[in-house]
Amino acid sequence: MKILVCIKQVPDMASRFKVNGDGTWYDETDLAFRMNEYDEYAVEQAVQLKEQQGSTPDITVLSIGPDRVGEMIKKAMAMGCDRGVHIQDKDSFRKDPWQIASAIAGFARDKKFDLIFFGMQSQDRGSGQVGAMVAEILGIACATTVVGFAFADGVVTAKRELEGGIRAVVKLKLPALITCQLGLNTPRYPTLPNIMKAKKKELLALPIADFLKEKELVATASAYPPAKKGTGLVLEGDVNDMVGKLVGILKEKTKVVK
Amino acid sequence: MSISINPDKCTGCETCVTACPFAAIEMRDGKAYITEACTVCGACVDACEFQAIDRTEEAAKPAVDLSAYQGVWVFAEQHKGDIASVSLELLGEGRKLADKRKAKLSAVFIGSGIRDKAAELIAHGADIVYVADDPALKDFNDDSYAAVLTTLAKQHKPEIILAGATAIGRSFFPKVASTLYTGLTADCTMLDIDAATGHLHQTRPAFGGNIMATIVTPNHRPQMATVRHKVMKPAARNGSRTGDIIDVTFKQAGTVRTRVVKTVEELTETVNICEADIIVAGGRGLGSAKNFAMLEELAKVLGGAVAATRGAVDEGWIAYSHQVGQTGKTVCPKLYIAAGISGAIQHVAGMSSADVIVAINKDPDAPIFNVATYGIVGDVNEVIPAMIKKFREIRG
Repeated sequence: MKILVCIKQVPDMASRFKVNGDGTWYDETDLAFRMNEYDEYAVEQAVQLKEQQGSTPDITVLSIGPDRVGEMIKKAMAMGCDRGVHIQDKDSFRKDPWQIASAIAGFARDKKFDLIFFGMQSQDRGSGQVGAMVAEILGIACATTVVGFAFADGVVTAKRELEGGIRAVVKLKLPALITCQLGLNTPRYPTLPNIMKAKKKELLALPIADFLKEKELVATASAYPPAKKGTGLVLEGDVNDMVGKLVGILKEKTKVVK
Repeated sequence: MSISINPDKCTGCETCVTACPFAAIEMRDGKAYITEACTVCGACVDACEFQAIDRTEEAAKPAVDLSAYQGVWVFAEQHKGDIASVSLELLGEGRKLADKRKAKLSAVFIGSGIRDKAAELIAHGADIVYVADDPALKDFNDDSYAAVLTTLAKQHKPEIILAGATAIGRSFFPKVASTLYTGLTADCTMLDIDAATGHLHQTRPAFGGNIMATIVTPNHRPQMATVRHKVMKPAARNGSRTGDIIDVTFKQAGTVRTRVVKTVEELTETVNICEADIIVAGGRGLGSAKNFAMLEELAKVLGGAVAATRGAVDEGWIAYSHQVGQTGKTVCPKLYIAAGISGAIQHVAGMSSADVIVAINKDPDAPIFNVATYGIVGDVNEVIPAMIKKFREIRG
C-alpha cells in the first residue's frame, strides 16, 4: 500500500500580520512558521493506518514551498512518514489552489498512491480547495471534512461532517483521497529517537517546474487589513446592576433579543 | 515557458555557460544542462552559435469568450428537503449582482421530493429554477451533485455561480470548478460586480480575518465563489413574483466513486452554530463542566446555540464540533456572548465578525474586551446565572 500525505507550512497564528509591499499577501519577515494544524491530523491518520496494517504501507509526505518547508517535512517523518518530497517553489504563496492542486496531481499521477491524505484546509488561506481538486484531477474517490476513519478489506469507511449537525458515513474504494477535520485524532509528538531516525530518511527536492504546467485561474487584485471596529462599552461594578444594564442595551440595540 | 537543449546540436562549446547571468547552466556529459536556477531569461538562446537552445512557450489554451456567459446562478442548498437559510442569502446577493448586470438570476435546486419548494426560490428572487429531483439525489454526494451542476453550467453558460460556504458547497464546488476549468474563491464575505465587464470582485478574509483579499477571475467563466453564512442579507419574500421552473433529468455522467451509506444526526447539535443568530460561548474561565453547562441553559433561554474555545473542548466539556476559531468553525451570529474567554487570536479569528459581541471576564485586561461591543468585568459564575434570571423575566 502506498500513501501520500500533503502538508503545508503556515505562519504561527500568534504572529502580527502586515500586508506585503505589492499588496497581494502578508509580509513574511519576522514570522515563525509551523505545520498547518489540519495537516497534522492527516499525518497522524496515515501513520495510524500504517501501524494498523503491520507497517507494510509506505508513506510519502509532500510539501510545496521555499527552503524553510524542509524542517516541517522532517517533523512529519519524525511522526512516522517514510520519505519526504519537497517540491521547491519560493513563490508558492502566489499560486492559486488550482495550480497547487495541478502540481500535486502532476507529481502523484504515475506513482499509484492508494490513499492520499490532506488537511481540511490551511490555516492561512483557508480555501479548502486543493484536496478536492487533486481528487478530481486524478479521478479518484474523495471525502472532505472527515471526522472518523476506518480501513478494512480495501475499503475506506469515513464519517464526514455536513451541515446542521449532520454526519454522513461514506465508503470509498481505493484509490481514494480524504481531507481531515478537527477531532479526527490527536497528533503525536515526535520522540527524540524518531527525530534522529527521521534525519536519515530520504528527502527529495524537486523543482515545481517539473510538475506544474498550468496557469492560474484566479488573481489577487488586492489585499488589505480589515476595517477596525470601534472600542466597546465595558461595565464594572455590581453583578445585578451590570446584567440589568446589559440586557436593557441588548433589548434596545439588537433585534435578536426581544 | 521553458528552456531546452537539443543534444544533437550542442557541441559542448560552453559559450552559454559564460553567457548565463544566473549560473544556471552546467556541463553534463559534454553537453549543456539547464539547472533549476534558470529564470528562462533567454540569454543563452541568443548566445548559442549552433541554435541548440530553444525557448518554448507552452501551448496556450484558447482564450475563453467571456461574452458567451450570461446570468447569475446560485446553488440552492437544502437540508432534508428544507431550503437552507444560506440559500436565501445567496438569492438576495445574487439578485443585486444580476440587476447590476441586467441579467437573470437562476437557482439550481438538487435533492429528492423537493419540487414543490421550487416556487419559494422564485418568491425569493429567482427568475428561473432548475430542479433536479431524483431519489438518487436525496443524500448529498459530491459526484452526483457535481454532475448535475456541471452539466447545466456547460449547457447554459452562466457568468457567475455562487454557493454557500457550507461543508457541502465547499466540498463539491472545487470539483465543479476543476471540471469547468475555471476559478473558484472560497468563503467570500463581500461581492461586487463591474457592471461593464462583468468581473466579479470576490472579497474574502484570509489569515483568520487579519487580511482581506479581493480575488478576480479575469480570463475564465463562470466565476465561481462560495459565500459565508449570515454575511449577506437574505432576500425578502414576495409571493407574487413569477418565474420558470425547469425540471432537469438526472443522469450520472461520470462514476459515483464515493457511496453514502447513511447520514446520522448528532443530537447535541440540533442547532447548527454556523446558522445560529445567537451564540453563547465558553472558555476555560468557566472552570468546570458543571459551570459550562450553565451556558446551555442561557442558550436555551435565548434560543441560541452553544460554542466553545479550544481550551474548553480540550477539557472535554463539549464536543469538537462546537469549537469556534482558527481551527474549528467560523461563525457570524447577530449576538455572540463570550463567557470566560480570554480572547486569544486563535479564537477571535472565528467570531470577530459577529454583529454584537458581549464579553464576560473577570480580568479587565483580557484581550477579548478589545473586540467586544459590550463587556462585563465580573465572575462568569455569578454573571451567567444573573443573565439567565434576567432574560427569563423579560421573556416570560
